[in-house]
Amino acid sequence: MPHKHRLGVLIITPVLLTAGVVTALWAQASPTAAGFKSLTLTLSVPARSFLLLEPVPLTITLVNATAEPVVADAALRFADRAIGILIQPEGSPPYRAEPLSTIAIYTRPSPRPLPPGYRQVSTEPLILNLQKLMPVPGKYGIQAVLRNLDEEIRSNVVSIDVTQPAGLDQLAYQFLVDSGQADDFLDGSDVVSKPELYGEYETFVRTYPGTAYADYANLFLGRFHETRRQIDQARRFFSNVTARREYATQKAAEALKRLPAP
Amino acid sequence: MRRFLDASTAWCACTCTALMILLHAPEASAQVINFGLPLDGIAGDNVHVFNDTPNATFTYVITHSDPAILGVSLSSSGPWTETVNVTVTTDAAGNGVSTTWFTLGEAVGTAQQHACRVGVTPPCGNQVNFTVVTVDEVTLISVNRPLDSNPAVNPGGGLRMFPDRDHPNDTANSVRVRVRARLTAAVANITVYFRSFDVDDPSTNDTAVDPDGAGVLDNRGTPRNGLIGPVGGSGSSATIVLNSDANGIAEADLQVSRFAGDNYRVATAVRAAVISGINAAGTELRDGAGTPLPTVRAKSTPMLTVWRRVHIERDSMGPVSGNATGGQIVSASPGAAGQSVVLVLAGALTVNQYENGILDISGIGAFPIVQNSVTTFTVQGSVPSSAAGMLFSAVDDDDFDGNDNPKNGDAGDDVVAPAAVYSKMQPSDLVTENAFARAYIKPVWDGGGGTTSHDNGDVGFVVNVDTTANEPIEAQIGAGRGSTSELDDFWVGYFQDSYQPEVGRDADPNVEIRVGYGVSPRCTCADIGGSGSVPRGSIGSLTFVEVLRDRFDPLASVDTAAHELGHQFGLMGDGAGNQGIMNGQSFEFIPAHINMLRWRVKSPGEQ
Repeated sequence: MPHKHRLGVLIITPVLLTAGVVTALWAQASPTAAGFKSLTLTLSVPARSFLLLEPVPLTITLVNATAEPVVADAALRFADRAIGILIQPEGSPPYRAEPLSTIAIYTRPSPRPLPPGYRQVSTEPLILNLQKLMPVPGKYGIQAVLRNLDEEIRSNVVSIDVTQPAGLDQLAYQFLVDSGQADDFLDGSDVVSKPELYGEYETFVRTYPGTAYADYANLFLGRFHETRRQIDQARRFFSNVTARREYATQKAAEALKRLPAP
Repeated sequence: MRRFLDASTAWCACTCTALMILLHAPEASAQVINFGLPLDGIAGDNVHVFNDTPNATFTYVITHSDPAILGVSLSSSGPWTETVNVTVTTDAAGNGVSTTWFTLGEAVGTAQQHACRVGVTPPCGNQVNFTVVTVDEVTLISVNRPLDSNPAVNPGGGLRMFPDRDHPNDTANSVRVRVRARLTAAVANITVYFRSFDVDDPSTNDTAVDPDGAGVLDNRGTPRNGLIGPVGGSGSSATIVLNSDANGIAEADLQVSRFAGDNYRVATAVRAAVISGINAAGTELRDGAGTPLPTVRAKSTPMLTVWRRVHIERDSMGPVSGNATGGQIVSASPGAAGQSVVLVLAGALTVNQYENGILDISGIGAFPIVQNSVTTFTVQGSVPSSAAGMLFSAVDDDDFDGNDNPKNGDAGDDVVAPAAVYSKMQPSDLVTENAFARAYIKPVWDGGGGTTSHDNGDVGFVVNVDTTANEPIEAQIGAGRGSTSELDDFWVGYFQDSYQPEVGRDADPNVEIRVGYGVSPRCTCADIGGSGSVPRGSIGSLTFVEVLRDRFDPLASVDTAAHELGHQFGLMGDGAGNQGIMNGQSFEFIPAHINMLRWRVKSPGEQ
């Protein structure tokens, strides 16, 4: 289990709630602080349990609830690397989830005045290195941290239940573990330079249809074909995404909407 | 029997070279014998008497012409004098052999030795011309890869070698370099000892790069000292013993690693005891007494440093097209301060995406755009209400090459990044022009194929490449990339001059929080790595020329390409703190990243 960045302030309580918003597990910024620290960062997750290795959609909301503009670098996308995610298994110290994204975009912190009422929402899945981050069934606390130059603000802590998969999910899970690709398979692979990997995805979604894992694999295959203008194939894979996995479902629906009509 | 004795060492318990000479032969058959003797080497000799007076004893005086060159003794351990006497007692047939005397090569040079009976003045009988030799110089000679001066980007000097392929089909052995030892005289069959060393990494003593600091065992390749073998061979250790040829030359091949920055020196000597006493100290080699080489008894090659090349394929999108929106005007009404508000029927506009652009209304004219909502343009000037129903087109302020007058969204302009974008990864040995030089890596702009360029200047144009997911970025790279032959000894980096990332990161409007200057997909990257743990990196990178122009950033405008190539090499950065060029804090790589670059085995993006 990784213990990459141990936090200084940590309170473990027995009140972790499944998929609920839990407040004050980690120290929040002082309510009287001015400037960046007066912004409100909120983290939410779907109110359900998650399977081992199942990506967890994290919705991060930044709000300026003050009456004054606040100058801040409101970069919520994981690729901007201003957001950090802390994971805390119940009864264990927290650690930082890194990396959150494999997209390396060259960007620069760019603080802007955020007017009163400013609100920005970003949803991205915690999808990388899940075998290390949440290796066993149990309760995990998750907290978001937004860095702004040398300051940071922290979100509420949410708790999720991670459960052992069963049935076909269990078989798909075991395949991922045995394949040695559990840490990044569902984020997609570099099929451009390793075309042989494509077949692994097709086999996976055909063998384990309807599983939580296949939803993300189908999403990857749909994107893969969409970006190559292979619309029929893209549509087929996007359509295979079930309605049970919020993030994958939403992304597939968005994709189907933007694809040209058949 | 004349014997060359080499005082035993760990290298060779007893190296003996036999040479038959008859010192006391009939005068008519007297010979001149040439004999090479290593400096500090010892030769044993005897007088053989044939058919002389039976049962008699003769005394011979051993003399030589230059006491500075030779010394003689009746013991192989000295003391060494100018002359010695030996006796021969003949048998009943008049034959006999003297006791042995020993000759020491005390200094480099030539001297003549005679063995004359007492009362006879030299010359007499055979004359032995001793040539006492040592290694005069040792040089490195190119085998299949040229050697040039190791650039001064890091200290240390010496020579540089690129032990990699010139092109993917190049099968020449690229890791060998010849070591030539030349003796002080053209003497054959002198034993020459070669020994290769890992010398200190002179670039830094920062333990992030050079774990042993000022210590010397810091090469990343194994064995650290390299391998030295016979010419054309691989060798199995850091030492080899060879004989000189008739020109007084002995040659060996040093096999180096392919880790950028590994460095070597080779010492040579004609005595095992000398070579075994040599050690590396800093970037120097020193003899057993601590004296830096070269000395009279040992010589060293210049320091040889391994550099690597990364071959660059640079593609670019073709001419800009479709960088405009259009539709029909619903209404036009006066706005504030000489402005007009134009309600349009078009696809959903992104708020203020078209600020500072142009709204061109068919049959009426063009109006500077102040701002826009999802359905309206606020423009400077008076748009008549009669514009309702007219068609319009709108462009934003995009003008990556600064040549649009009036603004037309770069229509028809071929996408090419300004040269400055690549200015920190030039094929240069200056760190100001090549940020990778500190890591002993040099970009080569050959289209990524060595002898065959894959550069493609006409990749299909895309206004906004979606960087919210890996797949669109990879597809864009795949649309252009032609270099597919990547090998451990043929590194390839890939770039595509692109236009903009997705709306929201394209600096339209100017107040966008985070824009994208470049992107590298599926960056399996890290900030710490070492032996066997250098991340794969990204398969290639896009640079966004219009964002670089629109959101002028004094750092990104010149370091974006080098930064992205860092991602291809598996470097993460992009975080907080000082990560040098990998988060725009400077134009150089931080030590931890240099360490990863120098541990690199695979081509960028490969694993």
